[in-house]
Amino acid sequence: MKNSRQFYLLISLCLLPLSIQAESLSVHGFLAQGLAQAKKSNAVNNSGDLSAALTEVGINANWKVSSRLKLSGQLVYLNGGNRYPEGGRLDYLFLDISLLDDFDHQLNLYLGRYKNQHWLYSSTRDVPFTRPSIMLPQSIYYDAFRDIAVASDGVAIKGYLQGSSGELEYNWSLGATNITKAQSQILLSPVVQGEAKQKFVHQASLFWQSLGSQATYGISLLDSDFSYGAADFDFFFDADLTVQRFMLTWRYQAEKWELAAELMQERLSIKGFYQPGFRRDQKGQGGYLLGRYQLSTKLSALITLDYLTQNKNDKRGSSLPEIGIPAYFGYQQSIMFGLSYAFAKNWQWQVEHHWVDGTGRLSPSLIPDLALNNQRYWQVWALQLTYRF
Amino acid sequence: MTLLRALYCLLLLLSWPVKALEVVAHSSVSEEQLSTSQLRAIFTMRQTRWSDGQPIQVFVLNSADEQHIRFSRNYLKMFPYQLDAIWDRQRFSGIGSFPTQVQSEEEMLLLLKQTPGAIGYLATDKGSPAVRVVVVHEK
Repeated sequence: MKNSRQFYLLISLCLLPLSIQAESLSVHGFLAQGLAQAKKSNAVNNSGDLSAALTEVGINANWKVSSRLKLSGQLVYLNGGNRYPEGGRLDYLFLDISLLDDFDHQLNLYLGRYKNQHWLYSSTRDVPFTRPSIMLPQSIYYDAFRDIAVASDGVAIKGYLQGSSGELEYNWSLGATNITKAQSQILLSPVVQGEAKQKFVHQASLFWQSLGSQATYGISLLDSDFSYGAADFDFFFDADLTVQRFMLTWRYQAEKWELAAELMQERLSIKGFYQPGFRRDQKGQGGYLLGRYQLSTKLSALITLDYLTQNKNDKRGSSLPEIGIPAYFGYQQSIMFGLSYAFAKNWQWQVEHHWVDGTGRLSPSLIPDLALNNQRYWQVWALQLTYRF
Repeated sequence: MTLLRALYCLLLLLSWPVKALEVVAHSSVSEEQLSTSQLRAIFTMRQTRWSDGQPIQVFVLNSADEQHIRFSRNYLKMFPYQLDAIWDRQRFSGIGSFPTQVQSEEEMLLLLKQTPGAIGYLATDKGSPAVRVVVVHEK
């Protein structure tokens, strides 16, 4: 649990129906259990065997304190195998203050652990039926970064401007996320002994939709600094890391189908970590194209093309063998096919298969696992049943 | 013969009575007209108060209901699944709420009559002098 005080605060919030009028409090949640398998990689587990580590349970509460003030929070329990640390966490808990509530302009201020509203699926990636697939395109929604990317502690604003020509959504946020030891091990290396910290994450985004158009265009910027403080006995050294992302978003929604794409360039600067004085500064590029078709009112099909290169000046990782790393760690590209079947109210099956070339988005990120990820081509499939309330 | 049958079916479809829809509000609502974008702001649950400060209460039919589909397409210029996705996104990221879903137009009319600040939609022949029709214009 990231913060036990906030955990108990949310539990108290969930029990408040006893003392608060029902219309001012709403409680919702979801339960999801699935099966997944990724032979020839550590994407799900180390053995490559069939795994039931695809559990997601969440409960959220929204308390309307007054007409301009709300308190919202969500607790989740996750078991995603090697994709992220197993256990409970407070996904978000924030005060929502309505600053403007005019007909043509709404503006809200969020204080606390706010959700990332800057990417197409960043605010709903943790809720099974609000994301398009069980495993999102890893170029943008890298699972190892899930806890860091879902929410941050700090301040955020979200606004909508409605004009005669269309609607503009704008978001800004400044905060930081506490990184646990388990997260550091997935992100950096299983043998890290020191402490990783996110100093800050600063983000802004804009989304535009013309009136009468089904196309949405977006742009988002991210700037974040991290530090690593080595332990007295450690395999690694003190480090400063910077991540900067520039991303373009496009989505077109028709009655029976939709297309969505996000393209990004991400700068990763590392000072230290491997050795004192070590420096690396490179830009990666990537993105995905997602297509969904509604076959019937209950059944939809999904296809995703995903691409990432860690270094835009060495797209196929050809320089990596010089330092003993296979070239296929320098990139990852995949095609995914999936089906979603909403067979009853509040119930859904999802099934999907990914064919992958490259291991650039397998964990750990900074110290690749050469023993388990020794195949350039690998596959992963997953099946998940979800219930929401 | 096949062509004649097709023409007959087409004529039947064209002559089928399609119920016209109106946007309807509680009599306490002072707004007499809204733009399409303002109506979208209300039904996507982003706009939560009328201009006089009164809280807005949104009522909708089931997403698969013919009238809801017609309202979404003709008034909001959206498909019902887009509305569902926006409501889900807001509910599960803690920044918004859901409209109240009603089972029938009769229930919709009853709640629109009884709930101050309410807004919904009804077929023109289901209206009542006890509720206010809101004119929607494309700005």
